[in-house]
Amino acid sequence: MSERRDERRDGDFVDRVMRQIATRPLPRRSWWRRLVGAREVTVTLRFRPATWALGAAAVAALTLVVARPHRGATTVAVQQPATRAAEAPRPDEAPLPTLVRFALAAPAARAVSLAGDFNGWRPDATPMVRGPDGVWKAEVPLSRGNWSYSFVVDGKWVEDPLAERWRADGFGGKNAVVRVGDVPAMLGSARGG
Amino acid sequence: MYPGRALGRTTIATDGDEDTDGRVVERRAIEAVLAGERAAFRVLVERHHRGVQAMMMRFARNGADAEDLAQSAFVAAFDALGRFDVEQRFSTWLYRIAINLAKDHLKSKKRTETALPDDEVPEALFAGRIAGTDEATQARQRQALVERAMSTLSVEDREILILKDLEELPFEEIKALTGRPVTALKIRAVRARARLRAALEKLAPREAL
Repeated sequence: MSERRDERRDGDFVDRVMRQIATRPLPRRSWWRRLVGAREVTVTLRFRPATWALGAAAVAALTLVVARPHRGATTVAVQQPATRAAEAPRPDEAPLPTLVRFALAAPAARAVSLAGDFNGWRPDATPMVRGPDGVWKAEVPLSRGNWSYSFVVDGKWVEDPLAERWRADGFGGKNAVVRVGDVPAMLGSARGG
Repeated sequence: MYPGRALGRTTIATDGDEDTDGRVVERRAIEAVLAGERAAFRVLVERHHRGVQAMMMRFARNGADAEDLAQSAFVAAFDALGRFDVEQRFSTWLYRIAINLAKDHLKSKKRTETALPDDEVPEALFAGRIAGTDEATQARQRQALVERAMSTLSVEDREILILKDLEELPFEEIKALTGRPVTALKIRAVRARARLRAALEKLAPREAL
């Protein structure tokens, strides 16, 4: 009986807090928290020189495996029907999503995931898988456009050190951007070169 | 008797004794709030409100103040969530906010309230003990006396006595909560106890303490 009363009182308290919170502006991750995260990442990556040769080999191997050219070292467009490369897409045709591979060399990390426009920036939505070479990978189907993203290494937000494009995040920081859309051109140039 | 007891002991997780699942749940809730899901904050309130309320009972002298403080602590934590470092323990961060609010509350009370003159100490407080009533009454009276003596101490003295002697937290944890080095905390604890003893002797000189 009194237990039930306690529960009700507890519920009241929680409800009161939640009602108050409903009137507050939403908290946003502060820009310096992101910066601090990024700086700590440098510490994570500081192991890289020690495994420099291994890392270089891993990147080389990755490039070979993927067998696709890419401008950024870490984001690689890998899948689009090859035939589409030659033909201009018809405007009335919905473009097929491109499978984009994201990769980050972080041999010392325990968990790496990917967050971005495509998954609502939820850090748990897209976990990455660690390869034996310490390179974490995830593939995400993306439609044409510019997509901001960030890595989450052991709970810290980490900018892609090798991103080819950046966009201001509105909090004084910046987010890496991968551009999807000129894949056919890239594939074409790959064949040419 | 401290009303805080009714709510159970404050539990501030120490290293290693908090379940990993709990931390994962909290981390997800925090990330969800930061991603715009305001309602996810409920998880954090539900997990910690009893402990925060119990702790606030130690600082505030009545239930209404304690509840207001606990509520303010959660709202302040919500507002500041963007600055929370997920590597830190959420409970430690939250209690730190709550304790700071409680200290501010005590300081503002000290400014507005003047202590009761000694002759206004309720006589019944001592009469019962001298007459030798049952143990429960004695304990309650002793507790009331300690509370009175506590209210004459500085906010910092009360903080260390609450955290160390009432909550019985290890110094390492108090360090995490207050941001002060352990040595300084130990010195403060010794001095605060001496000052509390002196205050008690002043309030109840007939009692050998």
